[in-house]
Amino acid sequence: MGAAHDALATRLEAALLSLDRAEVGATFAAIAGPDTIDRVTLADSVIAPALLSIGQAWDEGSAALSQVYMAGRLVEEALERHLPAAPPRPGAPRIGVAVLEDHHSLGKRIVCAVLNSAGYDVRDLGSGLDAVTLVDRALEQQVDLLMVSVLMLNRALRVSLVRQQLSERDAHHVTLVVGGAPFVHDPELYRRVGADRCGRSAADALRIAAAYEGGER
Amino acid sequence: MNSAMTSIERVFTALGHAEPDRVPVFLLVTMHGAKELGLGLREYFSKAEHVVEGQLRLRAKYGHDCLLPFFYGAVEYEAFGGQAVFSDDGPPNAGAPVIRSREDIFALELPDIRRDPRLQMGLEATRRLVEAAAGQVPVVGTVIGPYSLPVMLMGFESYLDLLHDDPLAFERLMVVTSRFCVDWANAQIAAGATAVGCAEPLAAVNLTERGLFMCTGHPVIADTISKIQGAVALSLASGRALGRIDTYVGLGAAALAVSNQESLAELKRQCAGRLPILGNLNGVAMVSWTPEQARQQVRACIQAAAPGGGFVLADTHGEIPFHVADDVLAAIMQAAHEWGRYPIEPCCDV
Repeated sequence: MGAAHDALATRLEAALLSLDRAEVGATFAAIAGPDTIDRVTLADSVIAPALLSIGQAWDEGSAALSQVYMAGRLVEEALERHLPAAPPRPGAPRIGVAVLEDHHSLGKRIVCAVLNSAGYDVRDLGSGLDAVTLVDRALEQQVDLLMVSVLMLNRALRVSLVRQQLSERDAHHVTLVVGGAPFVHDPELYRRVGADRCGRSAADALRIAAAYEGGER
Repeated sequence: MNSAMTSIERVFTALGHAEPDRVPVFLLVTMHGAKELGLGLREYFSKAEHVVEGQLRLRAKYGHDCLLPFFYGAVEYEAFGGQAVFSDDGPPNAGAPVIRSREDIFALELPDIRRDPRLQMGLEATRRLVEAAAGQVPVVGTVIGPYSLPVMLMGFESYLDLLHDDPLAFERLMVVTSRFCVDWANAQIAAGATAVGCAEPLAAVNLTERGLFMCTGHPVIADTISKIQGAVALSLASGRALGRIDTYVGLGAAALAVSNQESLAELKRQCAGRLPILGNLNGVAMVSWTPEQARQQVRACIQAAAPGGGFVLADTHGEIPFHVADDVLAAIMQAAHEWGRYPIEPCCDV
């Protein structure tokens, strides 16, 4: 099925970039047709490659954020229509996504859409959270990967407070991942604020989740 | 022209694609004035005289080539009824959206600039800075562009949904934001501002797909700029421009503020003689620069883009972060004086 799945991934990517809802639906119908495949296979062989490619195109400057956002939204819509009750990936990390001290939640929305579409168990922890509340919610939800999005530099610097909260509560098992414009403009900033990883794009969020699933902490 | 110029002569010569005495510098310090006055940011932004005094002290300290009556971007969101969120170490930010439903768009009222206390403070600061500048220094106002203001008013994802799904509501929203942008820009020009910077990050290549932008943003921005009765510098607020330069030239802006994420030399090559550029020091990285790193970054920018004029040295976002150290700001200006004297030979890429 490898070549067939590759062709479907390419078809899906083209449909998503051109915002062709009918073609996205037709691609999903083809996937979920008589030879129905399970959600994980679908995610790994068709959806994730398409979304990864779009995310990478954004990172390299050949796609726009509006396309990345709409791609995630269209895939979510199609999944809801064609595979509404699919369970999350077995054995995958539980992922919490939050916005630190800000109401601008586009990055969180995109990351949630992409990870959900790839079959991960994603918990939306909310927006406008201070470090204490954010870590409260992450621990309540028992997340393994905590993805924190920020928009502004002063908020990015306060990720160090999230790290402090995790340390004070002995939550050393939680991997702290950050994303957002300040981390794109200064690739070393994530280290200085105590994060374990940095994602430049939704494609990176997928890669980080997959690496964690593969045993990388 | 190599004899010493005033800042306004220097800037206008550069914007005319000619070489002034040295590269002009827009050191866009909007918050550092609070440190100079020993005030917290909330208190600093509570009175026009604070901003005026802060700007004058900063220019006396660093000798850069502009004065900024700008308070913070969320002022315009506040004019529409929003509650800005203040912090001790960064610009006040837009809080919860003021547009929460489609109905809110059709009920949206144009703010009355004459009755808005924050906007009036901005105009008061403009008038006082113009008086203090005495025609020697450009006083640069700021507006959020009509195509990008809805991000603050309704949230980014809701706005993207609207852009893709609801042309009628989008059109209605643009009527209001464009009219507000024109009124607010013209009020600043009437108060004496030399020019206005128009922040339109959604016009950037990396934010909106070309077809979407050309159908939605481009006509609105072009129409808005055509109604502003003064020079407009278009800022992409760190967004990318390469691949869309021709469309920006067609918007009628007097200059384009560009990103540090792209080659400054290539931007200059594509804009030369058509659209002066401002940029492209990395404001985020600037926070951790040493003075020597600042000097080297300034030198590289100047060598990439200054030859032939048409270039103003500035940060890439239009607002230098509060955390940037004074000695880094001083080093930027020192390097501009050292490396920015014309004639300048092209050397390296950024």
